[in-house]
Amino acid sequence: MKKILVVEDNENNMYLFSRILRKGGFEVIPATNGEEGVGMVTKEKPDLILMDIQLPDMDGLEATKKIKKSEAERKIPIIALTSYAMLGDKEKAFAAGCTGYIEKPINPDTFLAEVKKYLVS
Amino acid sequence: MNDSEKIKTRPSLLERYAWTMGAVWTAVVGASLIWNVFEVKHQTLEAARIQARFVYKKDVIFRRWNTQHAGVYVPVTDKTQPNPYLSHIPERDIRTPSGKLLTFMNPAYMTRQVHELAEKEQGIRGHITSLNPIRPENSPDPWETRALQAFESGQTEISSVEEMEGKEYMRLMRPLITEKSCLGCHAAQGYQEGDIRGGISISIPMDSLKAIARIPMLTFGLGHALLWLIGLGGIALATERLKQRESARRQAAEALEKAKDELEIRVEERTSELEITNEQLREEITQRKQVEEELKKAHDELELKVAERTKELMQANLRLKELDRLKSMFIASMSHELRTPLNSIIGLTGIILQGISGEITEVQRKELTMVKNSANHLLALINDVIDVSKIEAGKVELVIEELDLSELIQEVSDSFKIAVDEKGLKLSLETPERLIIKSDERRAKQIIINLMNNALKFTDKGKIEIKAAKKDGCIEVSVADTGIGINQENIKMLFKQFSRIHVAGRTKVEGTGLGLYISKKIAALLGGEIEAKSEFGKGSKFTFTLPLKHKGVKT
Repeated sequence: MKKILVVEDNENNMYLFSRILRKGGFEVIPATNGEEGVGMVTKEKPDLILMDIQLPDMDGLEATKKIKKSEAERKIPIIALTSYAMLGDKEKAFAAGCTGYIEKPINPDTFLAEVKKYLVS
Repeated sequence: MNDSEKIKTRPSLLERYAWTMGAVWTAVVGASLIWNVFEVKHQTLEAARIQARFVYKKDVIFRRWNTQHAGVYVPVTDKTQPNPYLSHIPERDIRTPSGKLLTFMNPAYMTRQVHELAEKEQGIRGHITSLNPIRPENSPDPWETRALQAFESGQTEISSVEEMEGKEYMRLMRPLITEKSCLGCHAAQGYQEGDIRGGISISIPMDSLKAIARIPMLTFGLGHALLWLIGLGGIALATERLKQRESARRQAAEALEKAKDELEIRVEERTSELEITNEQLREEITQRKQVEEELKKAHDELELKVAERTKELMQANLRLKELDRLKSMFIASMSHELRTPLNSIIGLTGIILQGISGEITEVQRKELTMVKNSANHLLALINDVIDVSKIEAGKVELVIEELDLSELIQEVSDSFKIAVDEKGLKLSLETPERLIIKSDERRAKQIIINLMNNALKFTDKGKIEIKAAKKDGCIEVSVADTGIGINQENIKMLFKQFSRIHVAGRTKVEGTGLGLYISKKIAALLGGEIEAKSEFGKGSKFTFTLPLKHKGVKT
């Protein structure tokens, strides 16, 4: 079973992502902030990371940069969860080392397929 | 008048010069005349001497002739009587064979007779004389005595003008020197050759010579007089001319002096006028300076105020910028904060509808779908409001890059496929294989999505047609539908904020009322335009243009 680390500070959203992903057959490791997320990467070695950009304390971009510094963890794809309204989030995410992005709010009908797309590649 | 008087009363230098010149001229001409007269007289005397000498020499020659013949015999006449002083001569008187009486005539006797003739015919007196005469009549007069005495002291000629019997004569006397031929008769007297034994005095009357001299004298006199007069005339004329000139010069000088005086008066007047003007100007300048200073003061104060205001404005600007930044941050946070619950709402509604959380009834499905649609509407509203606020604040940041518009249209078309199929509409595309432009992909897509949304909303049957082509150096994209169309009066309203057109007999459709407003603004930002054509009941066609290469905002 593939492991997906979800870094998300909102409880409801965390529930939503976990629900969809678990239903899709993935093991979900939750983290509620950047620091915890970085720790979980080392600890759990996930196959994919879903990273919310706006997080309290250490934000998603910073967390991504930290993860990318580690030789062992560098290859784990990180999907940024970006807000449409914030122009440049997408670019900033790619610059920090993200593999791809999914805009929030998600489309529940296509979300799982999009995640799987990044796992395959 | 005064001028001429002045000249008269005070003899000018010129006049003194003229008088001097006249005097000098007179002296020169007089001297010349005197000299000439003297010269003429001298020549006259000289002529008289020459004549006297000539006469003397003739006498000497006659005597010599006689001497050579040792005396001659001449017939005895009343005038020529036998010479008593020659009585010692043995053949003093002789008879010719025919009985004619001849008497001996020595040089002295002959000379005497010649002299008598000369005096008689020419007025020239000759006198043979000696200090020791044989004949008493031959005794010298006092002048001759002096001359003879002078010969003895070595002089050879004595001459002077003397008066005799009331007449002037040139008297010239030369000695008679004893020659060899003389000794024949005079040897008895103890004469020796070379002895001076008397002399011949010749007296030439000066009358005729003087008469001759009178002509050159007269000529000289007249000539000099004429010359003198001409000279004086010249001097007088020149003086007069110079006088006139001097007078003219004087008048001119005086006129000049007068003019100068007048000019000086005028200059003084003008100077005083100018001084007054100058004073006025100075006052004016002073006033100006005061005004300038006041102006400068006012200007400085104004500048100070401007500086203060600028500072205030800058501070206000900084505050505004801060406010603006806070506003942007607020919008960003709001966007995020609103999305977060929306994400849950949409996502969870979605998974319930998917049946992940168990079976749901039809009613539940219907109602949850309404929740989902409302949530999506709310999301659209949030997105549009954020867009509008950005556009109005001029904060839209464009990402210009190369893109294939045909591909973009295909993508949008694909995303609408399900919805189009659900309404039973046909969707057709007419685009070139590739349509590469430089523009902002997301914003271009936003316009097409907006237009597609509108077409879908207002079309219940028929088709939707998307076309894209190059036209007049730019790209033209159109979305045409066979929907309900728009009234002409409503077309103007289309691109305004929150201008949703109410269509009679139709339930209120979803929409933010910002879509076309945003589309128009974005089209302009991308350097293009958007327009709508419609026929009520038949359909609408929205067309927008984009430049091939984005160059800037088209206003």
